[in-house]
Amino acid sequence: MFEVVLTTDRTMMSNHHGKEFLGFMATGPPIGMPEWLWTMLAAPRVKVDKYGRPIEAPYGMRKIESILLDAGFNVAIIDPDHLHKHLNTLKVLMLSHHDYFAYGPPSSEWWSLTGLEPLNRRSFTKLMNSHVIRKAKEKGVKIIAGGPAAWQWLYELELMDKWGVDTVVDGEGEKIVVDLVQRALNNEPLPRYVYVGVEDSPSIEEIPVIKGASVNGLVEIMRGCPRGCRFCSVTLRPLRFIPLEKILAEIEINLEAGLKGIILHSEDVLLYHADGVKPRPEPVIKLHTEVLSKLGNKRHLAWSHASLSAIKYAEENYKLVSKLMNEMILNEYRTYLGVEVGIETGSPRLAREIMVAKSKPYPPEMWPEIVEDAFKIMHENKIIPAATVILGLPGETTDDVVKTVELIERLKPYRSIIVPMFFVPMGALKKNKWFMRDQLRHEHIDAMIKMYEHTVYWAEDIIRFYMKSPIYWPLRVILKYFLAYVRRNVNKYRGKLEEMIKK
Amino acid sequence: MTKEHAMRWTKEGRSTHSRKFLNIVVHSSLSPELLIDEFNKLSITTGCRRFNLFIIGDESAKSLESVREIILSNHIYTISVYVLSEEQLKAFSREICIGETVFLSPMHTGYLKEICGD
Repeated sequence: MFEVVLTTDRTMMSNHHGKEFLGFMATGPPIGMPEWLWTMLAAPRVKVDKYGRPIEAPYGMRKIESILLDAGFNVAIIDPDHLHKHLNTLKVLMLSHHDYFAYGPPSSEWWSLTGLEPLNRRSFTKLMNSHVIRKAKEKGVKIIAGGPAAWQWLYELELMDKWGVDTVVDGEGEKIVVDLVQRALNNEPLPRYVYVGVEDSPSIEEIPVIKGASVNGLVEIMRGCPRGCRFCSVTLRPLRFIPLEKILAEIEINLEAGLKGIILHSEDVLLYHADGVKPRPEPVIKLHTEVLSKLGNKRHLAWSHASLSAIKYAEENYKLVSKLMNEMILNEYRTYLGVEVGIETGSPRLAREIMVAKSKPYPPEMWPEIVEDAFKIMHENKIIPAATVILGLPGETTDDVVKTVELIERLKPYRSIIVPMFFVPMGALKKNKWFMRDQLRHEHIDAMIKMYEHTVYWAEDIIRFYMKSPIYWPLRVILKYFLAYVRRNVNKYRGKLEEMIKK
Repeated sequence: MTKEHAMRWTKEGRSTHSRKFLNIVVHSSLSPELLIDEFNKLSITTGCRRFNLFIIGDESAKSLESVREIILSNHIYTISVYVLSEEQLKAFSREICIGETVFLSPMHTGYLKEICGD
């Protein structure tokens, strides 16, 4: 029984059937099916032990758990359905989330477009109003909230009071969490809000190795990003490379827990120990050699993110992508590699304004060409990207959106998913306003329709890759039903949006 | 900073704490604009990057909205925001007396004596 418990709601405490991308369904409202079925599809329950400790838990929570365990606290991550088992001993409840109130991308976009509250927000609200958490508050349990969406609490101060959230921690928590939890246990006054600035970011030595498996075997290989895109919050953090031995230790922990594969997490996997923004083949090959020797032939591998410019540069200068894929990663069991990439815009002008270093070492004027070349390289090497495009960036003109539409048309031959995202004020642009549906123009609708057509065109082919095993066939059926539903309704919806613009 | 602001610098504070945290004590009735303005000035004049912001009074929501504006303006500072009563502030007498402390609301300058003595 634990005194300090870390938890979150079901949309986060799930392995999404071992398919990370299904988790993104939790950012939308249930469409064309009841909420329970949508939840089952996006965020099924996870396996737990007799105390309710999940076998796999969100990576950030694992880091905090690790630090608190090292400091000697009686702490565990507990599945939200098992919190009641610890009510008698509980003194500090710690929450984490990627998107507590659905204000982040892409939740805010689906919410704005459909007018329906996304699942993640519904699920978190349900958790906070649950009997067990209300009971814990009555007992005087302190609640500390953190995670990547901590900033959202400053827009929900009334809920912070209503639910009795004592402290919110915004930023990397490694260096402050021990003191904070100790204060909570000692019943000392707690800060209402802690913003952790860059100078208090943990060093490599201060970032601990996780002590339990992470969701889908996610393992961090870098923290921070050198590209400085103005819409992104990660670039506000200093860049650190996690040493190989720590990466391998975390992979070992995941494999011991029975996971069938891992995800290398970085904002740009190919920049592992890079020379600035130029990938170096040696460290990337060494990383993959070591990781794959741990994984063996049958376990799968994914990258969380890569930049399109790094893909182009690495392939054109070192044939690095084809070497990694064809000589190391792909085999009878690993038939593709999934990764998230950012297109964000097709306009070189806007690229120069808001993400001047995203194209580096190439100039921003080459951005559309970089995107196209990188998509071609990925297609030829069986890398399946899920790409994002941001609509409504500050300073965006009609011409910028038209250029984005043209670029998406040119990407048609390449297997990929392209998702539109409405601008959310984060990173260096956080003083700006959210982009909402009442700001949509005809060109935005054209862009969204182009991305929809592209994604639907490739979706069935990707599902074949992504859900090959017979155990996924029921999910395939539901997803195919969903795609058919979207196809039937998209024109109706387009009409509604057009009408809205006329008004 | 205006003349009304009382600032306490102790020898001990300079040697051990001055580079760590700057404490700012403010009443929750202070206007958000003034708080943001004063915070920005303090961060420039002191060069400090770490702050304890003690907000006294019951208008905590308004004060936290000011904090949101401060955080939106930059990402380099570490800021711990406490919303508490005058009585609870005494729990921080060590931080306030030993470290560097700025009282942004003139009515609170008397606290210094009350909390830290002569």
